Amino acid sequence: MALVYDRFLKQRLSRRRLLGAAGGTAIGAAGIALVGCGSSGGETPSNGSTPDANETPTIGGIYRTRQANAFPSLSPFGATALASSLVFGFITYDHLWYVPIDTGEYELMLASNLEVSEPDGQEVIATLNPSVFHDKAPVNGRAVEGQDVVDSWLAFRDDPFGLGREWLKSIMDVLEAPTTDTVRITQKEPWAWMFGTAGAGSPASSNILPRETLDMPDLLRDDIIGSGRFFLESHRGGENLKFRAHPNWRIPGEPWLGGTDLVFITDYSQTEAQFRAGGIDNITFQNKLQADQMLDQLGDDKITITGDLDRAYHCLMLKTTVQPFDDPRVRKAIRLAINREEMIQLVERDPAGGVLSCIVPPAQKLYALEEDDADFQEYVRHDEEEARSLLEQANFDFDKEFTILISSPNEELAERAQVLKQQLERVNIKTKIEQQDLLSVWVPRVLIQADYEMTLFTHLAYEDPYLPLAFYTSFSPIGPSDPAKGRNSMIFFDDDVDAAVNAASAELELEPRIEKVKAAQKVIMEKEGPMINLYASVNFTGRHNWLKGVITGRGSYGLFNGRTWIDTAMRGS
Amino acid sequence: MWRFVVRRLAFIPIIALAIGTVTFVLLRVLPGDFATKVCGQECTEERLAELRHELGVDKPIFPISIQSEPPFFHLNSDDQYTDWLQDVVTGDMGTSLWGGQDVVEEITRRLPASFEIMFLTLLFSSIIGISVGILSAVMRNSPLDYAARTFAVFGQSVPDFFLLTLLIVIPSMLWNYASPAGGYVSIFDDPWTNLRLFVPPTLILSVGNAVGLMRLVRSTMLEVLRSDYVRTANAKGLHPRSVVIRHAFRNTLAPVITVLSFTLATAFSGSLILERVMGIDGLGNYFFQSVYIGDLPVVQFTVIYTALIVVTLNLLQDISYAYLDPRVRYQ
Repeated sequence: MALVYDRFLKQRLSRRRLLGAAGGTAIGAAGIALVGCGSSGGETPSNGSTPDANETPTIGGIYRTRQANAFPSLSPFGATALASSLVFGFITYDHLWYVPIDTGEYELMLASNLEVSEPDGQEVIATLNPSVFHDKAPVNGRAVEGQDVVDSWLAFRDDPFGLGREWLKSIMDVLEAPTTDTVRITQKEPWAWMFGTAGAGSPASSNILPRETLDMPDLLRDDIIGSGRFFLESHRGGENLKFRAHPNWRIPGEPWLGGTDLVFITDYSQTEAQFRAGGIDNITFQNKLQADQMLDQLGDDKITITGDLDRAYHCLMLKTTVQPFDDPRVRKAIRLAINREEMIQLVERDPAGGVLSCIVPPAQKLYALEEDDADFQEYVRHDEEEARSLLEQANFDFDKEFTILISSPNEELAERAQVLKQQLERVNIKTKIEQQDLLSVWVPRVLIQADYEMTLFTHLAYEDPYLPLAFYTSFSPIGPSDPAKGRNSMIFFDDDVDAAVNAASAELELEPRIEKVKAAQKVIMEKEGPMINLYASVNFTGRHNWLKGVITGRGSYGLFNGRTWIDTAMRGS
Repeated sequence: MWRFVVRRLAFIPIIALAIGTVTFVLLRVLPGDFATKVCGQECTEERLAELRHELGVDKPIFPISIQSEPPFFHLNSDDQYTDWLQDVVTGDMGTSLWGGQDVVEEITRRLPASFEIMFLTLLFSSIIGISVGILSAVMRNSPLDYAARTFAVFGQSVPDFFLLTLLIVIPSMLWNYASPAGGYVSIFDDPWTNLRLFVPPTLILSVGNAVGLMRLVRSTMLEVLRSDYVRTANAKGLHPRSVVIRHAFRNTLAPVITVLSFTLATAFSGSLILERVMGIDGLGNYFFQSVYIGDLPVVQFTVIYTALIVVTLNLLQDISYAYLDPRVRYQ
């Protein structure tokens, strides 16, 4: 294995280390929901060996989980592509490799081998596992070829609507298929985050589609054809998607599940009711209290509750072209006005329900600032008196009412916004809360076009610190683009921040890179970066005990466990 | 009678057009531009202009524009309203802006779920409202009457969405029961699942309507029961049930029919709440989602659809008066 690759692997958190970090705050609980482990790419079984490995698995059970939003289109291209890619992209599409968020280490999927050039790692040659697409017209189950990877990735690069294409556009130089079963990727420059979600491992832009379907928008809108573990059997207008096991999946005997049903449930009380009744197999609780109540009602002989520190983190984003958020004193005042501990207590219903977050979230323990770091302490400090004083110094207009935009449906986010509103009121900042549909309004208008004043949201889980840093730069993956200044969703441009983040990205050695990431965070904090990070939740999830073979800590179910199974005798169906 | 029916039928397209026009105008004065929403990460002024052109929203809204200088009016050769009118007349409802699906197909696909909710709501409202109303009037000041009137106050005071949430939470907490999830199941495909899905929530949804109906039936019935012809019928020695059902009840039906037609119209909004809470992919959910995301073709045509249903029901209601009450004649 190439030296650079070795270095890349070493920079990842070990699974043990991450769970250790999570356990400290999550009262010893271990992991989140579903999904398994492992090198699922080759002909050998995915090593999703399970805690119940001594049992004989039932093959063919249908896993049922909640779908909270309808998908206006199933296409991986276009304005709503990010959400669809994240929810079912890994269920039904293949990727060369992926990076599970718990381990942070890449694992091969469609690729059977990666050959990385010495010493700069600028060229990677991926050899593909023999695989076939789903048996649907016009593809009809043909073999996956290197050219499919090339054409799919180039289509993602050229998609004017999509998010998460920065590596394809800026770092990738040449992408070609020298043979039918190899793909050669050449980068313009060495880049430390190439294999992660910020790079070629992006779940939003590394899906592999049959190349003949790429210019068939109607087909892409209504159907999904990939070569992943499950094929799309049916859906009703983007709701209630039913996936079934790919009969020609490349790993013999897998997947053990017969399929996955996404059950469209918008209301949380209905979600709880369905979980109690066994209508869905797992649930993500809004807080620890709900998890405890569910365990009391159903008992640990029926369900298992797990929790772990989320890599996602909550933040308040301010648009700097809205007066007076361009003033660092006002941004600091808002930061000081926020009482994160109180917010955790009120929203998560338990002090152990969240961990304070600096610029890089706490689950990325290797790169996050230590809690006893003086800059960290300053960042999370709460001081209403100083906040009021700063606002007065900045001649803040206390009569003006600002709008905090949040996405919906998300009851937990709405609660967090309510607490934030009250905390800002204590320093006389008037706000109102407005909800927008996540996929169709909030993502395109707020995240992409920066049509907001203040917005409260939860970042996705990233397995390396590049994106948490890049959001403050002129090469942010989100936000409107300014030909002269670059792209940033807060319209925040600062040369010092850009330089600090670039320095970290160009550093391939682990220890120096850690230091550079920490230095970049301190620059952002010094500049009062207008995205104020609050905390990361400890996620509490429940699953019925008939759902077996689950590798805790793996995040989304869609991520790759061919050996999760349903004990259908125990469930009764 | 026929002249009346023809005249009312002629009014239906005019009313639909008026409602459609109001919706058309309201949707266009709302802040926010759909082209801006979907323009994407690489949005440029040129791309935005292209998108607006593709969507047809770069045209003037009406065929006539008002100017501040003489001649004060300007005739537009191409405008959004005329395009929309042509689409309405030709039955081309276009495609959803977000998903690109055919609007007629999407509405038609969702109609059975919403129709079943409205039908069952109306059915349960009628059965509960009329029967309890009659009993309450006939057994005036009895314990049943007091109980019914108390229930009526309760039913009118508690909002539907709260009762629907209780319907989900209470059986779930007590018996680990939940209604089927995962979308609409046709009664012809799986009657048991369909009834489990629709009967409990529509019963809850019908409570508000039923109690209103019940109070109306009770008061009308009490008035009719005091009338001379009922006294005559009783004096003739007719069976009390026959007096109530054949003589008294028939004369309470005109206001009941009026209220029932309102009930059906409000059942659509009830259906919207029910579909949201229960996660049913009906017309109400589709309409809500489309208003939320500003999907103009869907909102416009759903409103027209709904208006047509309500106007048609009003016509049927007017016609039914003539059959129910011989004194009513449309001349």
